Amino acid sequence: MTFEINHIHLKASDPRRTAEWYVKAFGFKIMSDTVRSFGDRRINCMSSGGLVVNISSERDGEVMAEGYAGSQWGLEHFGVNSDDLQSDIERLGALGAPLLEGPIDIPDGNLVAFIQGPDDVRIEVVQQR
Amino acid sequence: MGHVVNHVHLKSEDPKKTADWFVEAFGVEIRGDDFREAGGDRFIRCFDGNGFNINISGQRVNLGEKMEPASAETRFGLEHFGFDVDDMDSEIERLKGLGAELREGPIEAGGGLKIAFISVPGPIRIELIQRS
Repeated sequence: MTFEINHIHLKASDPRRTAEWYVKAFGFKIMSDTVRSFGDRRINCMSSGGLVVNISSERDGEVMAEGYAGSQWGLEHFGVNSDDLQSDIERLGALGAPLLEGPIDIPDGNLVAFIQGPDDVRIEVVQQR
Repeated sequence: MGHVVNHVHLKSEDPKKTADWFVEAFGVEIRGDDFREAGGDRFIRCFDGNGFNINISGQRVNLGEKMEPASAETRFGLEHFGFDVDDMDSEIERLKGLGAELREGPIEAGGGLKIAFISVPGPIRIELIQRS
């Protein structure tokens, strides 16, 4: 049986602020913004292309480790398409997301860069070729 | 302008082993398995039932990449991703049989949703979601 990814989930101490960053940065749409019975504020976003990205704060009693935008084992980053990598790097930098690595011209592949989004999220920006 | 989310990316010391685990556990399809010259990493392209891309690759040793440990704990930033399941209880048992550990739940999340969090080899935090 083949399963479908339901969503990816970002945690943020100020989820509304983070969600609004993704609206500005990547055109995400905010579908709902609720306080759940777990005590967290959860913002349900829809990215272009249909993947759901949930952004929420810590739940009651939840102990949170810090985010990390460097290279790491396990779930490391997600990628977002760009029509023009260079101009998006500059635009995203002006929105407070510094360039971490690149642009990297992958032989027989894409032109990519890694940026640091809010809450120390590692984001790959991908110009497909 | 909307930007399409292109992929999620998992890093593994043994990307093929991790990819094979996701094939068995979640039925992802492997459509590419390459060695990348520039990074010196093995790079495996998997796809979920919707055709969404999950990349799994190793350390980019040729670029001197230094890796921090994985975490399946609650954390700020990119914390987890979720898969839809039809039958929560039987999936939890099945995935435990494949080496996953139940971390939390099943929890009634309201609106007919039942959720659970598991830790899968990596470790990686994954949410399971059952809609009623």
